[in-house]
Amino acid sequence: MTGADVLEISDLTVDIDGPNGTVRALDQVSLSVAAGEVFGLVGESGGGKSMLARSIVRQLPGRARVSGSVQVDGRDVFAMDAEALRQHRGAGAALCFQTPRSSLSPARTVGHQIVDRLRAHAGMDETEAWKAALALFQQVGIREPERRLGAFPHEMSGGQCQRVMIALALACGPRLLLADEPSTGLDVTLTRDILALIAAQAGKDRGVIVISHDLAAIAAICDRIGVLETGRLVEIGPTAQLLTRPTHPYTKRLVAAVPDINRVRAATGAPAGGGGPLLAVENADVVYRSRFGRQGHQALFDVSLSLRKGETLGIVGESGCGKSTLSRTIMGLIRPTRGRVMIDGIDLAGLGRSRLRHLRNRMQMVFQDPIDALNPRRSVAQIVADPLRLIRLGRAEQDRRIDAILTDVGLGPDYRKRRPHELSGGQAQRVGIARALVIDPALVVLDEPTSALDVTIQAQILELIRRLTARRDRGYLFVSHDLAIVRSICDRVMVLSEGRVVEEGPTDRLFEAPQDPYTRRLLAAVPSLSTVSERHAGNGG
Amino acid sequence: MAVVDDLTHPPAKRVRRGGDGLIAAGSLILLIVLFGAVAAPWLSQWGPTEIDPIAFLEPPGPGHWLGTDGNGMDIWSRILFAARIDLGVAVASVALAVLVGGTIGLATGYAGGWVEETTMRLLDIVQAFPVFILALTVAALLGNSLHTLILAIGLINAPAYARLMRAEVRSLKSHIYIEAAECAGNSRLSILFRHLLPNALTPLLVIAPLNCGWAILMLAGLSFLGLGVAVPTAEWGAMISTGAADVVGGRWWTSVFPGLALFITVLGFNLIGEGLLQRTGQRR
Repeated sequence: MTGADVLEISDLTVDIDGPNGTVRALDQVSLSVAAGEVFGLVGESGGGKSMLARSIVRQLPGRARVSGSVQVDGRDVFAMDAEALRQHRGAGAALCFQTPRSSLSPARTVGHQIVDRLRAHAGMDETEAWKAALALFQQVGIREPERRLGAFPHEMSGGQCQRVMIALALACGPRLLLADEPSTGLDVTLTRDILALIAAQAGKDRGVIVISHDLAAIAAICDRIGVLETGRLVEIGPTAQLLTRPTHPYTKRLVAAVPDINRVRAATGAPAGGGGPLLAVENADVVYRSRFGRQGHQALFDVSLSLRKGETLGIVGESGCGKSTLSRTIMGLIRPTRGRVMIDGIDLAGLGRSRLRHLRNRMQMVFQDPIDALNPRRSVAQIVADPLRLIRLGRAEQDRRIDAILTDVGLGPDYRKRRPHELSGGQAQRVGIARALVIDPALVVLDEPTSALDVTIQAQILELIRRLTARRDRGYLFVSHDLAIVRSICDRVMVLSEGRVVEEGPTDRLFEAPQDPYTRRLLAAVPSLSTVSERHAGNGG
Repeated sequence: MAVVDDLTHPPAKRVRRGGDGLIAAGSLILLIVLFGAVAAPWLSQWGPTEIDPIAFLEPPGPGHWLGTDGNGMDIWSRILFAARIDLGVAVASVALAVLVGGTIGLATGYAGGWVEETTMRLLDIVQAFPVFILALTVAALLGNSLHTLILAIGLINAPAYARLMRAEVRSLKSHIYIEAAECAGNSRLSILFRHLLPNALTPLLVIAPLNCGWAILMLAGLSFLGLGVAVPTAEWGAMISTGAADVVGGRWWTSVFPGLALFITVLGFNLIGEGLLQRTGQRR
């Protein structure tokens, strides 16, 4: 079904001069994409994925030096004059940027933005352009397209903004559609829909390139995949082959790092029974009040859960389902409007500020954004020592504890003096985990601890968490949107949807025989490399 | 299992920005002025209020390097001694403004809600008056001693710092590390002073030198209108004021030299302020 090549890149090298010398962003990259083909480009942040996309539309930073050639439809992009380049950017190759909402102008309705582009590039008059815009909105699956043409970007959800972005990119009928991380910030179900929509744009005159750090998500839609590591295209091949028989070590690592929904938790002995629950949430409602106490937004409805020592409970759901509200309520950062949160049988809501503060040596939290969770002015040792002020320790004992916990999370005492800006995301998250564990809490809430990390780093942090939970000496609450990760870590899982618990049960039971239709839908949307490679093999590559 | 570079990440290099030259130039100027203020008794053979009975309104010459004023006082000596008062009032009043304004901004910004709203509206009322008119009123009400001048100039600048600090704290409050600090068991005071204050202070300290320049100008303005320091005391604004009458008769030195001293000092403060703004990336 693939036709002639629409993109031909040969020996593309991009050097960027910075304050600290020259950085080689792309190193002798060669690849081609044919009409009708969906090509996936994967790699971790800093690998050069976005730079490659920008080379194709020739939007490189001013200090970039380029050698090699990029040809779209047989025309060399770097030899174009200004007018040819302008045409090229609409009708040759069109780029969907990574963050759709901030790539759209907040001051104009989305309809106007599409009409502007149609009039500028396709030379349509006003009425033609509005008609074409409506057709584009229908094409990208925006519900109530007539009404949505008049909406501003802030009135639309992330998924809808992404669809508008795709409509904008398609406006001038490009030969090549480039989508840079189209699933950033989207849920599993939305991700699947958006990726399917992008893949559907490949046709007899058009090739598609999808850029992502998430190999599992794009494997389902790509015919071929290229792997970028620090600017070099280390491997390229048909999807099934790349997934089942990767040859380059980096590709092997990427494939191995993808959380697999079929991976179950390793047996680590049963949770320690006996005694009352460590954590109990009873019929909690949380209502966020608006400024004047009117029209509150209810984030949790009648949520109950309990957790024993040694147990790991997973909380899953899509964004906006109330996961974060629940973990913050458990941490006593938000008081429930109704119901109770009990730690060791003590009701948090009944405690004064000071008593609650002293209860914090029983419970700690690890946050989603690892860098922002660390005070930029403080050293790693100061950050880790922060909770220790709850229990007075001698200087020597405190230092000993800090060194021990830093070693435990895989960093070691050498990191004591570093500041947060000197840490990578993975290192920062290790510091965050060390801070949570240093006081030896009975309960640890992990709120999406890996979702801001690259896939291989994520795999390492998950190994650390697995090692910690396997000790069975604490209760862990693991909050995540990623079902595959939850399956490999948790003993029990609770599914939240729109602030309500829809299903709860032992991990294996819930994944193998989900009762609630919502859970089933969620599970069906999870991409899995094993099923993907089977499907591709069935299609004959 | 493969080991990846997660643990071998090189420390980020500090990004160098401009502004260093401006800061150096401003500091040099202020050091010279400061030296003049400190070494005043040794740099001139006359006292600041000492009267030379045979030299009234004498032009610059070997006896009096910058001439004398209508009372027979040596201008050079008075300029040097005046630097003590002008620098002192500027630094003290700005320190007061940072302290009072910063504390108000820190507390209200963190507290939020009606406390914040009420305080900010009150500050709005204070700021609704033209700054100089307000300073005039306060100085006139409290009388013109050095302490009241510092108080007046300091308090009038405080609302601006309160506003700046509050804005800073409000944006810092949404950072996760503040929530993390609460989870780690920090008390409210500890969150305020250990986690918020060090991160919020930079913009205030960057503005402070600029404000020192304004404070000197304000003091000079008050003195010019007769609400500053008491009459024989050497102060640049007062010297310009008394000398202004002599300019008409061609005796330019009585007001031009103190004016130059004022100008150079304010320039020094402004150079440092501008340099700091550039360096912290708040202005290019």
